[in-house]
Formats: sequence, structure tokens, C-alpha cells
Amino acid sequence: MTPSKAFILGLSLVLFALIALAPPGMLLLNLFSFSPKISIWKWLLERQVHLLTLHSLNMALVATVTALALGLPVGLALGSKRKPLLFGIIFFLPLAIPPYLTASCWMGLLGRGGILPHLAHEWLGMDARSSWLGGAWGAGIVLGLSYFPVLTYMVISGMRRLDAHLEEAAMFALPENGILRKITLPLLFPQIGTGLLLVFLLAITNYAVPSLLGIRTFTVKIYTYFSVFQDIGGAVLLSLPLLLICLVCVLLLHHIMKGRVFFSLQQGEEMGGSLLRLLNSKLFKILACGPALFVTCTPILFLLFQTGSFLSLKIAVDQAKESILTSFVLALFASFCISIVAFVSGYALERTKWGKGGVTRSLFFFPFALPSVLLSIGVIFFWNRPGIVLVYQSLLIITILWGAKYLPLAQRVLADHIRQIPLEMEEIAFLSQLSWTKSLCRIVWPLARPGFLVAWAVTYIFCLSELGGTLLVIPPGADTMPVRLYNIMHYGSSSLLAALGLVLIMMTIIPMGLLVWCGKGIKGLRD
Amino acid sequence: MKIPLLQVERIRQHFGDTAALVDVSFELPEDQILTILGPSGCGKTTLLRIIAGLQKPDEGTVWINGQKMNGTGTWVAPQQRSVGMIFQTLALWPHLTVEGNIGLGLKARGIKKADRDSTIEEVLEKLQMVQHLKRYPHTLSVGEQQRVALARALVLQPRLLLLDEPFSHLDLDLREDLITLIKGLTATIIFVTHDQHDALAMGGLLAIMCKGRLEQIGKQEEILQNPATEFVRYFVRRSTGLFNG
Ligand SMILES: Nc1ncnc2c1ncn2[C@@H]1O[C@H](COP(=O)(O)OP(=O)(O)OP(=O)(O)O)[C@@H](O)[C@H]1O
Ligand SMILES: [Mg+2]
Repeated sequence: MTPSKAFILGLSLVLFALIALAPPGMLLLNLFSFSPKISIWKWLLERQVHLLTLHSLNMALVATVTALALGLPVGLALGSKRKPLLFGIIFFLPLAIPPYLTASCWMGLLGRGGILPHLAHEWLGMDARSSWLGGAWGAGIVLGLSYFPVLTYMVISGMRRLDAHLEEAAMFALPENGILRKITLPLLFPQIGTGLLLVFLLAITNYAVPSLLGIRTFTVKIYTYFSVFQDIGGAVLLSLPLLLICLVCVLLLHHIMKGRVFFSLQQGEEMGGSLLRLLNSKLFKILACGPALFVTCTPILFLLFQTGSFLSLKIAVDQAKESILTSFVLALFASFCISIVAFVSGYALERTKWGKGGVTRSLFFFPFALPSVLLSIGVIFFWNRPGIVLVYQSLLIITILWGAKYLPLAQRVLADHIRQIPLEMEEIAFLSQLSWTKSLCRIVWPLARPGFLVAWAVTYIFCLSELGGTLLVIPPGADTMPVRLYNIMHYGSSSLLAALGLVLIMMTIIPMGLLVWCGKGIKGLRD
Repeated sequence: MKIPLLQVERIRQHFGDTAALVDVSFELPEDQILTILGPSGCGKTTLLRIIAGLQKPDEGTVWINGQKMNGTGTWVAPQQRSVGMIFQTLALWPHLTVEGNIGLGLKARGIKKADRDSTIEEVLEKLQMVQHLKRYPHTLSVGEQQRVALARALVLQPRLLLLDEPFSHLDLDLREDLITLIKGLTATIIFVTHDQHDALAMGGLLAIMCKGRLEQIGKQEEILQNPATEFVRYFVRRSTGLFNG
């Protein structure tokens, strides 16, 4: 290894460790110094923990099942040979609407005093006082509605890599639905499994939705222990059972992912896709995409309806100008930095011997599986030091928190992408007398760019809407859009909430639209 | 006596339980073409990778121009070996045009644009590919891609050119064209193939490999007449059979 290679890869790994590994790691290492008096066993045996486990698991499982019911058919429909372009939008839009916003929309529609119970009372004389959307189930469904595109994306990427010959070969022996059950779905199993586990993780670590719906999950309790009782030890102790669940998920994920590439971006549009007539039929596409389209558009229509007029939108924007700017610049900055570190450290993971080890991979992915409320406690604990108060008191701390949560995900996306670049592309560069650094810039980087854009987009979307952890680390006086929305949900008017909600959605859609448009342009130039 | 351009001394390479190379030693004088012939999986690619410095052997030494390339405390990086290579997969850079693919190495050497252009043109002219300068690899036919890979290696004027089955997937006419082209180059070349036909057409020195061992090396006619081992005899019989019928 040349000195410059060692330096660059080492630096990226040090950054990764400082941002993503050190905060939760230090927290866990110091567990006993926080609260030496309480015995862990007493905590774990208390009834409260069982209830929290029950609620959290319930919520996450319902979310996973919802995502499966919605996301799998959409994935099968969009991943088939003939792709309905129009429906492609539903595979992205739900991610642009943060879950807590979705939750508040559905609450406005179905919750206590919501529009539908109200109408039911008026017209049908039904009891309107109770909420139609309560408990862990409600929260789970809302989270499933928000995160089903994750599964959809996985299924699509799996179907793109599907070798159509495998289906063709089965056509002599099996009827269509037999092929679907015996060939296509089993081939997609790893992708479906990964998608479901990711949805499960995103749901169980979510703070904003259960907090909004008043459900006592681990994340809500951890938040309360830290911010209300100022009890770090209690918060960390309480998170241990949740950590165990997340650890199991990560290990399962590793087991399923073994040696496979999950985040792939096929270059040729015509490549891959199932040939089954069943999946390519119009009827299936409508049946699959219809419900997803409905649950995607309803919140947006609801927000439009609540906003009322263009004027109220304008007023809301004027009022929140500063938060909009902060959120936008911060998310842009953070997602860019995160993706760069993810690119280099992902390379280190993929192209060095030790990075291929299962323990390293799971360890590097683990921070993503942790709730951001816990990560933010870790970030505060690790970065709130006398020498570097500036970091802690500035918006940089938010960037670090987002990095802790999403750097592992971006790294995985990029590592998977780099794995798909044949090593020989680099070796021939070395033989052409390019130094390692030059080969990284001129060969690996251009070839990994699609993966970089995916990583950037995913990070940008998640950072822009991150709420739970941001609430804990945000310096006094500063304000991001989600934090403002959250405050309005508790104290503000519904039309202001709707207007700002729309603004937040547009802040996601517009950059993504530009990205897709530019991407098309670049592609067009090349062909 | 003049030192040979390449000396390979008792190279060993294991991958887990498989012995990819066992005590491979040979010498190659300057401006000679050596054809390495052997069945699939006998370690041909591994040997080339070790000579190029893309891989460190478990044991043994490679010398180029009398200079030690590897050993305890010595390691010459592939960038400094002045070795050109064409991979089995070609590995053309898909994001660069033909011009970009060929010019990148020159650029890395710090050669000016004008000089670069003329050098690229010269090489492409030799390969009859000038008209494809601005095209991307995926728009070229396989035969044309092979020529680009060859041009990319030739343009840096390596002391040693390693060709790893560059003609797989080519039809006979194109193979013969390219073999004539390669024979016409003044360079030291190692040409690897599992195809007896190509090996005989190339002429020059011939080496036969089997299961990681170098069975015999020498002039083509010598090997045809006096096969040293049972395996070589078998291989030779097959190839001459091929040749005649
Ligand atoms: N990186 C590796 N890891 C494990 N085994 C390897 C590796 N590279 C090569 N081998 C093994 O070493 C042996 C020789 O491989 P090599 O690629 O050199 O053969 P080859 O002669 O080039 O074959 P072919 O004609 O099919 O290209 C094979 O058994 C192969 O499986
Ligand atoms: Mg080979």
C-alpha cells in the first residue's frame, strides 16, 4: 500500500469511527459509570420494559407487514419487463413525506375529531369521539405507509438483476403462477428479506410517530429519560433491550446479504425484469399500484386542502424563511460530506482484506440500526467537550448526528456499488502508470458516481426529515423545518402545519427532480 | 551474455488448498514471443498477474531486465514495472472514449495534449482504428474493443506485453488478423491461450502448463518433436490433429 493510499483510506476510516462508531461506543462503554447503583436485572425485570418491548415490537411488525402488503406488489409491477413510468412516482413520493407528517395527516383524517369520524357521525350517526387511528397498530400502519418504498426499491433492484432465462427455462415445466411461486419469488427472497428488515429497523427506531400518537415505545421513553429526567444512565440502560433487537436484525441482515450486492443501479434500462405475463398485465399493475397510489396521494391532497390557498402558503414561507434555509443548507452540506466519507471508507471496506470480514461489516452498519435519540445522546456525550465547545454549540453537531445515523447506510450503498466495478478496471490503470490516487479519481469515482448519487439522495432525504435526534442536539435558538413542524403540531394551527409540510415535501422533491433531470441529460449525452 | 528481459524463478502460489502455481521458472529473451498453452484453470492468469505485479507470489522471484521485482524487502509496484497487459475481460473503461482509454496513461505521465494526440493517432493507425477515436467502448464490436485494449497497452511502449487470452470469443478471421498484427510488433510478448490452434499460429517459443506446473518450454518445433512428458505428448497430439484436420 502506498503512503498516499494508506493516508486517504486511513483518514476516511478515522472520520467514520469518530462520527459513527465513537458516540454510541463510548456511551455503551461508560454504561456502568452513569448509574452504578441500579442493577441491570432489576431494570429489565420491571414490567415497564416488557410493555415497551411489546409496543415497540408491535409497532415495527405492523409496519413491516404493511410495507410488505403495499411494497411487494408495487415492486413486482415496477420491476417487470414493461415498466409503467407514471407509477414510478409512487415509489419515491412516500419517502418525501416524513412519517410524522403522514401521521399527522392520517390523524387529521381518521383520528379523534378527524374529518372521517366526523362525517360518519353526521351522516351515519356513528360514534365520532373515539379515534380510528390509535395504539401501536396505528403507528405501525403509518410507518409502513411511509417506508414501503424501501422494500419496493429492493424488489426492483432484485428484479433488474434477475436472469430472465431462469424464468424462461421454467416455462416448459410450470404454469405462470407456479413460476412466480417457485422461481421468481424465491430468487427475490434475499432482496425482500433485506427490505423487510430495513423497514423493521426504520420503524422500531422511529421516535416522532409514536411520540405524536402517544405510544410508549423504547424511543419515546429514552427521549423522556434523557431530556426530562436528565438521566443518561437510565436512558442508556433502557435502550439495552432495543439494542439487542437491533443487533439481531443487523446479524440477520448480514446473513441474508452475505456476498450479495443489494444496492445496484443497472445502467441499461432494457436489462433484467421478469417476463411473466402475470406481472406484466395491466390489471396486475393497477391492482398493485392503485392502493399505494391512494395512500401516497391522500396525505398530499389533505395537506393541500388544509393549506387552503396560495396566500397561506406564502405567509407560511415568509414566516419560516430561516428554518427553511437552515434545513436546506444543512441537509445539503451534511449529505454531501456524508457521501464523500462514505465513498472513500466504502472503498476501504470493499477493497481491503479486513473490510470483507463479517464482524467488521456488521459493526460498520450497526449505528444505522440504532435509534437516533440514542445516537444523539452518544453524540452529546462524546462531542460535548471543553476544548471543542464550538462544535457542540453550532449546527455542526446536527451534521455529526446525521452522519452517525446515515453514514453507515451511505457507506453500504457505495461499498455495494464499488464491488460491482471489476477490480481489473483499476489494475489496468495501475499498469497504465496511474497512481492509486489518480485511479481513484479517474476510474473508480466516475464508475461509482451513480452509487454516489443514490447515496447522496437517500442521505439528503433522511437528513432533511430527521426529527427525534435533532430535537435533542439542536443548539438553542436554531430551528430546522422538522423541529418547527413538530412544535406547530403541538401548539400551532393546522393550516400553518399543512403549508409548511408542503414546503418540506417540495424541498425534497425539487432537488430530486433536478437530479433525475440532470442524470437523464448526462446519460443522453453519453449514448 | 545478454541478460534475458524476464526471469521467473521458482514461483509458487496457493489459494487455500488449490496450488495455482508450483515452482514455475523460465526465462524470456528480449523481442521474443512466448506462448503459454494450457487447459483452463492451470494457472496462466495467475502467472501473468504475478509478473505484472498485481499479485505477490507466496514464494519465488520475478526479475525484469535484471532488476529484482519482489522478494524480502523489495517490491516494485505495477506502475514502475513498465509492463502492459490485456485482460481476458479486456477491462476497457466504460466511461471514457477510445481516445480517453488510450490517452489516460500518457496523461498520467504528464505528456502534453498535442504530443498525446499524435501518439494516439499513430498507434490507432497501426491498428486501423483511427475512425473510432471518439466512440465509447460499448458501441464497438468485440474485435474493435480488443484492438482498443491492445492500443491502450502499446501506447505506453512497455518493455513486456502480457496478453491473457485476448482472442476468446473472436471468429477465426479476426483471430488470424490479430495474430498477424501481434507477430508484426517489435516487442517482448507473453501470449496466453488454451487454444492449440492459436498457439501454433503464433510461432516463436512455446510453454506448456498443466495444473500449476510448467511442463515444457522451448522452440515450437522442438516441443512438437520431443514432448517431455505424457501430458505434453497428449496435448501435442491433439494440436497436430487439429492442425491437419
Ligand atoms: N483469487 C483467487 N482465489 C482463489 N482461487 C483462485 C484465485 N485466482 C485463481 N484461483 C484458482 O487458481 C487456479 C488457477 O487459476 P487461473 O485463473 O490462473 O487459471 P487460468 O489458467 O487462467 O484459467 P482460464 O484458462 O480458465 O482463464 C484455479 O483453480 C483458480 O480457481
Ligand atoms: Mg485465465
